[in-house]
Amino acid sequence: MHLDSFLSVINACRFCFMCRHIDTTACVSYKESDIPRGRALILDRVRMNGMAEFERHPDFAATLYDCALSAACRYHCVSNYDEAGLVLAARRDLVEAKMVPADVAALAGKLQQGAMPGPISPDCPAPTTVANADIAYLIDGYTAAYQPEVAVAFLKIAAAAGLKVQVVRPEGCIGKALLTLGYQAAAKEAAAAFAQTVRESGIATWVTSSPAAYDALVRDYPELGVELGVKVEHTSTYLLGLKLPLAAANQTVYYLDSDFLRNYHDLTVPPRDLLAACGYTLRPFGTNPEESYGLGEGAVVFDLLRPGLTGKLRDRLVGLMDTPDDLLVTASPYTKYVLAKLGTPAVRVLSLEEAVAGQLAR
Amino acid sequence: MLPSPDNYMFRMIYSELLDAVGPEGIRVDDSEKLGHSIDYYWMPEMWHDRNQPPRTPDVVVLPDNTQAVAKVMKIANSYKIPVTPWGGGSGSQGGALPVYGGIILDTKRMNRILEIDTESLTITCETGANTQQLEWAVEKAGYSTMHFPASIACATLGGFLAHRGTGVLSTKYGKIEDMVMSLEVVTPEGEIINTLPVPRHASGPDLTQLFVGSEGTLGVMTKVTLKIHPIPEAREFHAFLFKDMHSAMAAGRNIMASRLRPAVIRLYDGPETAKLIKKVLGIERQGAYLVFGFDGDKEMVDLEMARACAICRQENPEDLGTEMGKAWWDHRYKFFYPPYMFQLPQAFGTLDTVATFANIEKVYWAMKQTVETNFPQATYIGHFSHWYEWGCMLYARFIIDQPPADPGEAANLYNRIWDPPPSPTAASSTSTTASASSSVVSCPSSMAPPSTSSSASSEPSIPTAS
Repeated sequence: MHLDSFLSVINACRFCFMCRHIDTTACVSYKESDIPRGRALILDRVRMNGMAEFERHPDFAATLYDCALSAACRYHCVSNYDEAGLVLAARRDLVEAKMVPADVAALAGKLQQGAMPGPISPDCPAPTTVANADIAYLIDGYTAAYQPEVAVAFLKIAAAAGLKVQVVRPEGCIGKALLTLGYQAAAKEAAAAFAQTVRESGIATWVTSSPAAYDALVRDYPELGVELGVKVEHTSTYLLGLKLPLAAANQTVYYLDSDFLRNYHDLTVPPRDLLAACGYTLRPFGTNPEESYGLGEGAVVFDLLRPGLTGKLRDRLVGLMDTPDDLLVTASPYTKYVLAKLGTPAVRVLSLEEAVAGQLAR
Repeated sequence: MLPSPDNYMFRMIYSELLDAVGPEGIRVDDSEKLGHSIDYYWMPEMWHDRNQPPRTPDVVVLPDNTQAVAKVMKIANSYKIPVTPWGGGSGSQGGALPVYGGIILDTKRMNRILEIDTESLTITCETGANTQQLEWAVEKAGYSTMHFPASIACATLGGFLAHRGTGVLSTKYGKIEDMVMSLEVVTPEGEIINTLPVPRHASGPDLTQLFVGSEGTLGVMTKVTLKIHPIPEAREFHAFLFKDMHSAMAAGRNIMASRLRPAVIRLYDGPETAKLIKKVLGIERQGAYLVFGFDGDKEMVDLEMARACAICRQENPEDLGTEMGKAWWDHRYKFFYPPYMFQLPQAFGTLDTVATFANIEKVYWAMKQTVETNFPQATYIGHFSHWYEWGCMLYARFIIDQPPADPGEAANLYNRIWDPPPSPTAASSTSTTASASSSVVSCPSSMAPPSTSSSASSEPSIPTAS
């Protein structure tokens, strides 16, 4: 079993409660089984008694898919035990043992058939082929379907910076969503196909607004054995390196850390520096800097898999706002989608790209 | 316990509970049962480690208001079903375990802050609040609960109330019983009562204090008003390494006798200094590590700190300075994370005991002798925390690196350590322990097996404070 390679994590987490307060799912479900301790207890029994434990206790598998994979607990842990990696290994075991819950299998099936989180928005910039492009800009599924303004804003900034940009908009999953669901082989296949597109473009620098896509290309692909041979940047670091003609903003904003940027790549400073460079005044969101406000971002398609939990996460975030008029900024198109399009009350939220584009000197 | 799920009576009772707490508040899935079958007590951890079947509840209910708690209690009382309150499950003595099955009443959905009174400096909130989340919220409002136990991240406020939880800064700000103003409680019969709104009265017994530390046996605490404090201008620490525990104890005692007001004093014995302080803070020297801290107005802190340091220097310790004092504060929770905390297969237990300064060292040595004489395979370590004008708490632990592999034998050995000395020989060799324990030591939960008779309880902390 793949989870055997996480024995040290099981041993460390199974009796440890020290990150209960920031487990993303548990903060809204209040379930003992939704903290790393609870999941480790389940998986310890599986380790001792085999995969049949999932048959004896059908809710064990479903519980593993309730995990939002924010990795906030790993980031918090003084020893950084990889609780998220343990869940991913167990999901992979479930897939390979053909014991994955039906709703997960159905979603994975759609992703394998090329389905996106939603139909591509008519406002989303179309793919382009640009000779001697400076960069390729990768548009993720959530941006393409629900947040085309993120891509539009990025291209506006790039134009102001005088960049030649080739727009790349994959027709299906590039591997990330499948990987988080445990479908490693299918993810690798998708990754290999996309890597070929990357290599054939001949473009040396790839930029994306999606922290999930960034994480896929930077961390997952090498682990899957898929080489890209290009430089990959998230827009937060890339835009920070540009000399942009900016007018100072006179606004106070709350920046919501991305799960992938903070908890997987320790990128907390560049997005804030970027907003500060635009003249925004930043205020800390919520009561603490540790819990996840990604609303399931780490699980990539959490809104499709667990809409009820996603709604509760949104409710919790809204409840933590200082005032209903607060202006939030997120680096994640997924998070922006959940905040802007799923549920009420309406929340004022901008992507990083929109926040920057709004300050371009006219 | 409840009837079997394939019995229609189970369905009837389930239906009543569902009506009481709503669909979001009732769970019978195996994941949740497993999660509630193990708390921070070594015994269920070992039982799980040896792949033994867990003792699970039949139903987990999560009421989200006091009335729902009252309904659950009435249903349970009507059908004579055991109810075990559960907060964060981080109690170290098994108090939250569903030893009779039945209902686990998990309080975590009752986590609302109801009022912060900035004039009286109090907060009223529900008892299922996670204490770290609560502290963060209070800090955002510009105040602090000043309750910083090691289990702050995992335990609930109700757990601390039920088990007299203690935070690191208790020497100045008090334990939970000193912080509480008033309580709302649901009795086992389902009656909702409120204690008086303030903790000082002209006459009569104090009903609030009757419930504090009652481990859930007298009811489920659902709402509490606590004191809060302004965030101090300064908080500073200093550490010394004494040649032995006795001289360090003298220094600590003299600080308290001088009536300075340290927020914290913590003294580690030689073995714990060697084992844990080395591991967490990297101090690799023989001796007893003593750290203390003051907070408040900067001017006052500087004055008190200078006086306390002068008292310590009378014992000729090695001065580790403010840096190693601050390092202890910064890493105070690190001791409780893996791999710093003791872990299976080790067997370990906490024997916390409070005594006067005249007796606390006698208790330490007697307890150490009792453990090490009767159980040569055990190591005994301890530290002294929560200092009062008259004494302090000994937070002692025994550790067995290789307990028996057989779960029954391991459980028997573990339980024997908590028993009185087993033979006349051992008894005579530990007379000091027997004397100290019986006459001067307040020992509420230590040296005794966890209660299995109660139908209720929640959690203390990961051994509180420490």
